Amino acid sequence: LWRPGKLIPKNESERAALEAFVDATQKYEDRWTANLRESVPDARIVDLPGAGHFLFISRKSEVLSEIARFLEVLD
Amino acid sequence: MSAAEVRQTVATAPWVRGLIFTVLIPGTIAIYIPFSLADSLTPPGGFWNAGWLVSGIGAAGYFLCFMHFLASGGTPALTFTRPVRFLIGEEPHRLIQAGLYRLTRNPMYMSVLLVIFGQAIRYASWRIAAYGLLVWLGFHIVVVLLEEPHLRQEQGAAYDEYCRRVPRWIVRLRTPGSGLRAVAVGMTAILFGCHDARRADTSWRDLSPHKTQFVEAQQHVRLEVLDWGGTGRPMVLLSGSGLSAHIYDEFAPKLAAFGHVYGISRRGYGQSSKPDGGYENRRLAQDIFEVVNALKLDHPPVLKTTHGAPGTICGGQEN
Repeated sequence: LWRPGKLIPKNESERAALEAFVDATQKYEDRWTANLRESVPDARIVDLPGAGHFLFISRKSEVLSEIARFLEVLD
Repeated sequence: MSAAEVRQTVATAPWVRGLIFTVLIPGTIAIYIPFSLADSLTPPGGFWNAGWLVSGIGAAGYFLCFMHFLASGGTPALTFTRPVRFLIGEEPHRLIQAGLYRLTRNPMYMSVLLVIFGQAIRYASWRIAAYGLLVWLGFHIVVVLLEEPHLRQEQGAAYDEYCRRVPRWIVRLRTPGSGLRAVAVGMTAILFGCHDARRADTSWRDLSPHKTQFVEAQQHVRLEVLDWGGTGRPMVLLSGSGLSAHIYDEFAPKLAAFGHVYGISRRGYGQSSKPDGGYENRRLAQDIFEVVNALKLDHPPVLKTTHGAPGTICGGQEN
């Protein structure tokens, strides 16, 4: 996702479009998170800022430790 | 063992101090840093496995030098580690000229370099090779500016005579300069070979340690299932739209520490069948259930990525 400093917009129009995209995405994430919390109240949600799309590649060790933690809950 | 006993052991046992030095200095320079540089690389295998041999020779050389140092009443050390000699020891006071020291004046440094260059070969990494050259340059500066003047002062004429007899770095072959030329040729070959191997290595190769099987999810539709092994609880990795289960090639072997890991390539991708239809969420979810049932996996946790399996969730609500 675009974050300030990650992609420099060429003009104000592009900046406005990028900000609108980020706002919309954030709303989607917030709604998704709220839905999950509502349907699975004891769900543990871990935020990995900047992890990108394929977080099991970019943040392998953190993902593995969270999976291990999740599996312990199942046991 | 109390803290006082640990201190006593370190103070009285040179091999403990030598071991601490080995872990801290050569361990960092020759293993930790090259390993970090190779983090995202997959060893190309084949001929490049010769790197194991080179690193092994380096490790053996280091061990032999280490034993010589201990036998001479010292431990491996650097000039600038003298202030912490209570922890990592210090060099022996007499000049070692036996063993590998008959061939080169700095076999321990050379051994460390061999460990590094062995890893450069194993990973076909010009970055590690370039790092090795940089380390060599650093060693050269330390040896010429610090260690040799120090030894000359300590040992006097005996050291001068030793220097005349034994080269600083490269083992002397039959004709003067031939050893240096051989190393220069070898280094150039490693650097260019690594560069070419990485440049040529643009096509994907299946190097992840797994078995592949196919499960019929629907008539005439077979799905590719990768099995990375592991024991205990089965776990299923689902690939997203546009991806096969190979997206988990690096991750799955590590996850196998926690259970038996399977990956499923959805229809249309990887080696799974590519039928004309059946790509709606409900059918995709049914595909997953067919595989899970065929493999007799008992309520496996499912890890999905990206547009991995909205259908699984959708189907899961119904099943």
